[in-house]
Amino acid sequence: MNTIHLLDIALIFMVLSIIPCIHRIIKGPTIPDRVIAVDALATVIVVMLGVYSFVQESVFFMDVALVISIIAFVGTVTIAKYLDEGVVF
Amino acid sequence: MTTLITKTITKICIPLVSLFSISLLLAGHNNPGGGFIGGVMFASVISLTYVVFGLNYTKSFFNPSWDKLFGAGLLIASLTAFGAILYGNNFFRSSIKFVDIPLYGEIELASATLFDIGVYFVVIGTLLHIFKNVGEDK
Repeated sequence: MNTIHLLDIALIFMVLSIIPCIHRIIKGPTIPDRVIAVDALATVIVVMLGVYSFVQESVFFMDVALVISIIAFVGTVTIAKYLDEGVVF
Repeated sequence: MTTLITKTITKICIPLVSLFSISLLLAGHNNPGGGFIGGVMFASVISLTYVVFGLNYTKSFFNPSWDKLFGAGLLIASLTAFGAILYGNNFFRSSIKFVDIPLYGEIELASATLFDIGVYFVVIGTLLHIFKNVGEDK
């Protein structure tokens, strides 16, 4: 018997919330708009992986979520410093 | 000039991410993880240190030669690949052994872990050598 759980509905809404992020990445007038959109996209994907790990009852997706969040953090900090000062190092 | 918040967060991140990279390295070859992604994690946290604290300030107390690490890792990986020939097996043949450690239980020793350690050093050496030399270029 197929039942729709609450977590499945949450996953559907998270997929829908990716669409405005991609819209902002494509049409964003300035570079900081795109950077913030990429960071929000990474956050949505991390939360999706956490919820999907509960749905599948598997812990393997948590490693992927941790890796994506660390790489997104390092990239955001680097781009923020570059946009603020003009140099990276 | 980076803010105090970023510096404090970086100081917290360095030991946690290093431990996570080693855990990914040792969990490889039958779980998610492996040498490549562990090396990428370690290189990302060291490059975060370079970015936040500045390249010249970081090099004044922490300046290993990453290109030698690249060579050492390539040597470990290729010696693991050739080591199977000494035992009369094919090139790149891996072996596995289960060892019983008292008070802990049974652990699994695989020769694929040695190859993963080589890949780990190669990835760290390549990424950080490129990162440091691009940063020094004026």
